[in-house]
Amino acid sequence: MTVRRVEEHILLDDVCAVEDAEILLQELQAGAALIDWSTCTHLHTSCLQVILAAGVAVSGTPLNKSLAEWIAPLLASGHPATASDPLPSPVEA
Amino acid sequence: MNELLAQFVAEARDLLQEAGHDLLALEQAPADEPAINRLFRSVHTLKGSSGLFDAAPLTQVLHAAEDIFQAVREHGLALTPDMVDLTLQALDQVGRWIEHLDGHDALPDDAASQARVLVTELRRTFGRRTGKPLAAPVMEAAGDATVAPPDVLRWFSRQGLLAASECAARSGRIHLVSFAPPEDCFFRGEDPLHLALQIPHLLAFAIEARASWPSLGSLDPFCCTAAFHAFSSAERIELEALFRYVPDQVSILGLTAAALAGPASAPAGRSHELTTVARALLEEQLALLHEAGPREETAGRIEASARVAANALHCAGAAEAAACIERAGAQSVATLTVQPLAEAIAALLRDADDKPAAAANPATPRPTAEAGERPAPRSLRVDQEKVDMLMNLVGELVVAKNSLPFLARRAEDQYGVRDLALEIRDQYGIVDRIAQELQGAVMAIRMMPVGHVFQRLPRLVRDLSRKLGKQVDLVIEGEATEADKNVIESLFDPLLHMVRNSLDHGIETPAERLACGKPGCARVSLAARQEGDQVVIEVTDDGRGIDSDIIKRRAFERGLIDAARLSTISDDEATMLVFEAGFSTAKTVSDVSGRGVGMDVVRNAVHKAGGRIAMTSRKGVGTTVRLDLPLSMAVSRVMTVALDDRLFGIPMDLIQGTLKIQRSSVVRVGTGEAFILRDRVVPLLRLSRLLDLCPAIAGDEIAVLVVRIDGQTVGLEVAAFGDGMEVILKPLAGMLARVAGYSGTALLGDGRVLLVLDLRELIR
Repeated sequence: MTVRRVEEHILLDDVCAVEDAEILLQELQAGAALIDWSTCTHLHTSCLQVILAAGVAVSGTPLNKSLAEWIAPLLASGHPATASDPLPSPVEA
Repeated sequence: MNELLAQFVAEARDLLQEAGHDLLALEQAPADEPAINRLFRSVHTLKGSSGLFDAAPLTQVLHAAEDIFQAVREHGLALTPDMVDLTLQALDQVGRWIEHLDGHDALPDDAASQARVLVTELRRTFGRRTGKPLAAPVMEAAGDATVAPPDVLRWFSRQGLLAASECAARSGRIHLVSFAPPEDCFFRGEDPLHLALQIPHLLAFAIEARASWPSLGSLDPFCCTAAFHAFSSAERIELEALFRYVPDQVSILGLTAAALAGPASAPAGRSHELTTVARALLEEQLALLHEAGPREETAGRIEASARVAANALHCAGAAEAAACIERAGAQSVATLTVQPLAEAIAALLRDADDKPAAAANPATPRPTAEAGERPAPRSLRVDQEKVDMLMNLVGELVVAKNSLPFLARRAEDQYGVRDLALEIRDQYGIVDRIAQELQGAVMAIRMMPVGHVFQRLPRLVRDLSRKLGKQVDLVIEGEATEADKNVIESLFDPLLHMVRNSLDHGIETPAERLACGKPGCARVSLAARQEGDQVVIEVTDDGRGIDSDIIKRRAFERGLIDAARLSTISDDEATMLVFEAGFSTAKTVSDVSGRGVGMDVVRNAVHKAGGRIAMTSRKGVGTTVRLDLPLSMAVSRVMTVALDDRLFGIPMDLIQGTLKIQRSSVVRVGTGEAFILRDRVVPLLRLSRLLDLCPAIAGDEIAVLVVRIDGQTVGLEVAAFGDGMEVILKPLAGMLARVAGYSGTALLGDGRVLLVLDLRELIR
């Protein structure tokens, strides 16, 4: 199971593939407030879209180096906006 | 049909025609810079407007074509005939889709697959030529930009931009990669994020929602709405290699440090001049938003409006404004009130109104228009029916006006008021002048240059000559000569057949030509000029000409002439036999021509338009076909003749002269009659007999109208000659349409109906 609900948290383990997006979406709609992706090695675009759309906080540093380097900053600061740009829609690195 | 779509279809037809024309010009003269610029702009404009409609395949093909023309324009890529074939084929396909859009409001079902084939073919051919695959930019042009798109400010954080600028300053150039995967890419097993993260030497990375992120409730997790932007210091070739399977989803833009500095320092202009189309769409959305609807549909309505407005702005190149609308839309959806979006749209429209005023101010100079920009056409598109209606009304006015002289005569003769009669005649003079001017003005609206039909022929000649392996130089003269729209339109088929015939039968192969001592490249000329109230069009070739002996034999074999005629027929008359139905001298039936239809089609079409056709040919030297067509079909000049107390109209263009001859000079020839005119025996026909009317009263002298029909001079006996006049000819309609021998009716000033005769049919 790559998307697991533990109380208020969602744990993303290992490879999160395209079909996991739906489960992730359901859990978020069911009120999960935090995602922990420390053990995530691959995040499919569809899952990323769900996280971005939900605007939910993400904790931990994923095992995948590219995700950690480029995607984590986009999700860390209580995305989407940063101080330098007030626009809500785009997400920045 | 949606008015916007109708406008697009009309515009697209024009643009495609211009593009085809420019493409051929370019093939002739590859260095023709204005032509490539026009070509690029036509295709670019078309692509831009097509984005407003549900016609993605059409946009894709145009997009591929645009890239090619850009490569030609900027990298001096030379077009080979094969490449021209391919691009013409692409434009033809677009043309067919446009016609389909016109009829069905949507593209045909197989459009997507056809587009894929065409796009692949285009990219393959041209990619090989240029030695590198052409990146197919979705949003930006491939190559180096002097200024980075202002959107980079929105996409990237300050840190990201800084890292990119630093690297650009160090290494001279970095690349901006924009990757917009299609919405259904997940279903093809693609993971765009994974691909994007593999971009080598990443400097900055950004994700953008194509629209704003939807709320979780309406989110479709399997629809890809994310787009990716990245700065990379890798070489273009590495980046292209990475995206080689999705070239049409990615754009790679080379940027220097200076280019990057541009948008960072320039203030981002919020307002943008709107195109009329975008404006219309925005206004429509605003109106829709203000309409009350069921509460549960509010969110959907807002979302739809925001999407339409944002798309329109994107297409108009106003990305900033589009983003603004998207934000307002998201806000509206979130609060379920239309205000934020409605206000944003209203503000944009206001901005656009203010813009011209600002532009007029010299303190804020606008970017100068690109050199050679097409001037906005100062013309109206009017439905032809409206002009026809106007023409009919003018016709009725002419008839009504013509009754005034009759009224004046009655006032004088019947009531004896001479002064009143004079006054009526004065007034008639004024009304007559105005009516004539009005008629002239309406006719001028319908006038079109012959070039309208001519310009469709170079393409035909090019394709045909390549197919037949012949070299042909097409020379066009006098394309500015004008004639009525109906006449011009009736010209296309005859011209098509004549040019086809010339190429297929007339022109020899280069080897044959060289053997005869002619230049290898043949010459076909199309010349138009005005002669009096006729347009003369000549199609001349310098091919093998017509062998009248072969024609005679063929005509005899096919039973078109009998043995007696075979021995007496002159060469010129024999040449005219090619216009008979069922005649063909081609040894083989090709798909070009030679099925024995063709020239008689030409003759019939020309006759229908009220014209004449003549052919002269010299064996081994060439053939000339000459068409004489009336300038306008709306007004015909007829001469009235009296017979049995009735008036009949005879088309003036057939009449050679009028004369009176002594009855005694009529000679009997077999069963017919004839008389001598200028040392020639001319057959004499009695109109009364042709029309089954009482014969004219016998006297010493008979009135003979000399007419020339299909190259033959004929005398017609009538009772008396009337006046020549201009009439508006109305064809016989309904049950009467089947009555042979009449070409139509016209109203006379005194209310009588004038029957105009179709002599060709009567005499046959």
